[in-house]
Amino acid sequence: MKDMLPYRYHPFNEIVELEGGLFQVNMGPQHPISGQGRFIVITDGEIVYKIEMDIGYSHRGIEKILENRSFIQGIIPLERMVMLDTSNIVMGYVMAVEKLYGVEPPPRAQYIRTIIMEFNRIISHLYALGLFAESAGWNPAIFLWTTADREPVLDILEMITGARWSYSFFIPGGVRADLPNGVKERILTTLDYLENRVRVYEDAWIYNETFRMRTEGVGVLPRSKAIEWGAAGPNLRVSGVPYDTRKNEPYAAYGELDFKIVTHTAGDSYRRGWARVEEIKVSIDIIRQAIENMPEGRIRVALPPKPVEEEVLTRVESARGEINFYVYTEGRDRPYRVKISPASFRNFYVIEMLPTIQTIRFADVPPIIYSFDPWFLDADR
Amino acid sequence: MLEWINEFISRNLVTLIKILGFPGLIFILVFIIFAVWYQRKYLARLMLRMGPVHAGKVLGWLQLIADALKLLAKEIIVPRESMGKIFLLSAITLPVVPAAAIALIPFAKNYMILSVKGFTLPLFLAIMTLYPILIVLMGWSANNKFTIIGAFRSIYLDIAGEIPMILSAIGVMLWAGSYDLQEIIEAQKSIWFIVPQFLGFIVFLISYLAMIEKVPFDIPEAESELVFGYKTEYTGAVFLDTMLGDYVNLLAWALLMNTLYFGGYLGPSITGDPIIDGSIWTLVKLIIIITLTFTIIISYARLRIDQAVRLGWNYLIPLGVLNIVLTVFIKYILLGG
Amino acid sequence: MSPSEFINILKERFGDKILSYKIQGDKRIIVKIDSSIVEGFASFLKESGFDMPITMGATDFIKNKVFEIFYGIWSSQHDFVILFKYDIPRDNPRIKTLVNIWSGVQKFERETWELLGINIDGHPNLKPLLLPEDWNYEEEGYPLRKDFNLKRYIAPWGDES
Repeated sequence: MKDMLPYRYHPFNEIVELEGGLFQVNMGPQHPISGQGRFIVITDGEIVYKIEMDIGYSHRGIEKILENRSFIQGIIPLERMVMLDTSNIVMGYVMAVEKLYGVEPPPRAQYIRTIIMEFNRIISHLYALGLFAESAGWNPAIFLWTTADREPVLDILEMITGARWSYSFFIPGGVRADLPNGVKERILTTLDYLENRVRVYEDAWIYNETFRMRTEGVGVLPRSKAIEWGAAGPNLRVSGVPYDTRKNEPYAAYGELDFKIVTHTAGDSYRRGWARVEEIKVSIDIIRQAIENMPEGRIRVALPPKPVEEEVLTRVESARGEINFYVYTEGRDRPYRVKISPASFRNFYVIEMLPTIQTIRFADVPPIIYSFDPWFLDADR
Repeated sequence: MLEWINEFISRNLVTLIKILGFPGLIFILVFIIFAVWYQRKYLARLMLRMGPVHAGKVLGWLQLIADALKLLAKEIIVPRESMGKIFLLSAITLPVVPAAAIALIPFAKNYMILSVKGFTLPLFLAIMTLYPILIVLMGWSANNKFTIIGAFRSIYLDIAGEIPMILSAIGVMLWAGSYDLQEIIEAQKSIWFIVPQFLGFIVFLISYLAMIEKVPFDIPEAESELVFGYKTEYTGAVFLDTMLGDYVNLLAWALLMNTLYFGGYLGPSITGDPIIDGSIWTLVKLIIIITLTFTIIISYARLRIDQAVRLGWNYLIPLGVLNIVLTVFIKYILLGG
Repeated sequence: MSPSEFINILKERFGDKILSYKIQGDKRIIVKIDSSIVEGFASFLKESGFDMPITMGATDFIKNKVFEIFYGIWSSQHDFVILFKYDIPRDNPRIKTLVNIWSGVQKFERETWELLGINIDGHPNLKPLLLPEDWNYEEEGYPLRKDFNLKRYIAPWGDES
């Protein structure tokens, strides 16, 4: 009976001996670090022979759900894909719908969207930093600090949108509401606070000697392989590919704002964590500029009755990297097919392929995986 | 029968107080309850949390007892494929080893459980070497991959940590000119050994962190990799026992650090009674050392096992030898013994 | 190189095997090709500098009885995306893998195999990815196909939209 079970059903602590003295260590789904998935690690002692990401534990069929809902109804289930990063995810779909209907949202809406998306990126990066620190064997100090620092941002998001998470704020044609009174001052003080906190993270975490020992030169992703395997987001950028959708294919208000892309050539775990800290700084800068240059005007335009385009592929830089939506419609108010390619889905493949070019030790598996900022819900859809 | 007991108690009253009260069983238990509570509260403040607040109203002091009672009430699960007796016995024996070593530590002048003179520092180190053996037994007998990897990592780490620790202890012995813990303390009357033996203290501090298996050397437990290392399979009261072993181990090594480098029970007189004075100073210094330990725990990431072992063999052992050479040179050639 | 220049190169090279194309903005080419030239087309793209796969999937056109396979490839040199599509018959869906050309499409192809039931020849790792291992394809079908019976999954208290 035992032999007949496929390998997924081995209890997580069971010793599975493979040929050649290799061991299969199942990290997850009940493991302190795994999240809603499983890393199947085939090890030869402490040396990792193979990593396999077993995803799908939280597959909700969002693509199918979207096919059966009108465009505007689809926003709500879509937000459940990555709760940390809802606005960036929804932006791709909303943008696709706008392109299908051939409307351009008014500039004020674009700026409001930019502010919310950058705040989302900040909270998502903060969470990623905490998890990365924890996976490298930190006591949860950094994790709890970052969690605490997300609170002021969530308060601002609540002020603007009415909800801390999943605000369904972006709709095709614009945003649901204008900025409330007094939010600008609140945003500016919060940004000052965050800037100070980022400096604290640099001192306590990025420049920490033990952390550098653990992550420098570990999990190196060279430039050619990053492109070939399709890495996304900061993971791609620190491997020496200066691709950022916000810069290369500007959407929302990014085309009118001046910001830099965080790049590096090392491509190791350390720089992937470092890039996230730097990107928080860039996001703070972007929000300041957006607040300053905020145009007046309408926040929403009406959609025409029928879509004008048939299909569209939109790319958006979510916190974890590029997410793209291929949307095909038959001229009705709902999509015929939506294909979502989330960043984590692509990054998981990169993680799987890493042991083929470099020796990885068992203790390095969690920091490497979490340096890519994986999110199982993102990959599962 | 009753007379015999009476006579026994009256003849051995001091010894009984020492064994059962201070610095014996009750002290160790109370101190560990305090240390765990203190760790929780202190780390919680550093993590921007409150720590326990509900049980016991004031600072959540009852929380630990509540947790212990909860663990005692839980079922003890022995994995079917484990070596049951060894699995349980090794865990139950775990706190005994460091507790036996604590018996050698003087808490005040001439106030220790085992009033032996002579080779007490080597004896202390010898007793403490039994601890890793029990850990291997725990990891091996549970018959689980995470526990066995944790146990072997623990052995690697203990070898890499114990040798530098013994080397730094040799430096102290040479400077004090004695093997005896009490004489070492008495030799610190003019100046604590942390000053003349500073290099040795650095070696000792790092190997101390390795021996208590806390961050940055919590490699055998390594929650993010090995779930809970060699303790993964323990439940209920036995798990409580392994936790106890952990903290008694911490207490023993912290007491040794205090004895070797911070002048043990030495300090200005408060009450006039040497035993009470000595105990107070020991406890004060102990709390400072534990605070230092907890601060280090929160500040660093975990090292990899190869990095930790390399740190031990490539840096700590040469530094320890260098410390011995310098000690001999300064003490016996420059200062002329 | 701009998308319109590249489409001219493609037309020159593949002639009438390019069934239709459209250029959206300055960063997109959506091109429909004949299914007979897929491999040659893909290796030509790779040679022209389209090196990073960003999406791959299939659409079930149940009325026309075809599956439309699409691959989205980004070029790090030219910085735009080409989305090429081709039709395969719906009754015997079978394509050849492009893993040897773009390693990154591996997981996307695996997902397409799993959710749409398109057989992928030469794929190195065809195992269920998102669905449970005990998913019964004969009884429950392929989730992203249009004939998938959604009514099985409506909760007793839910309604159909």
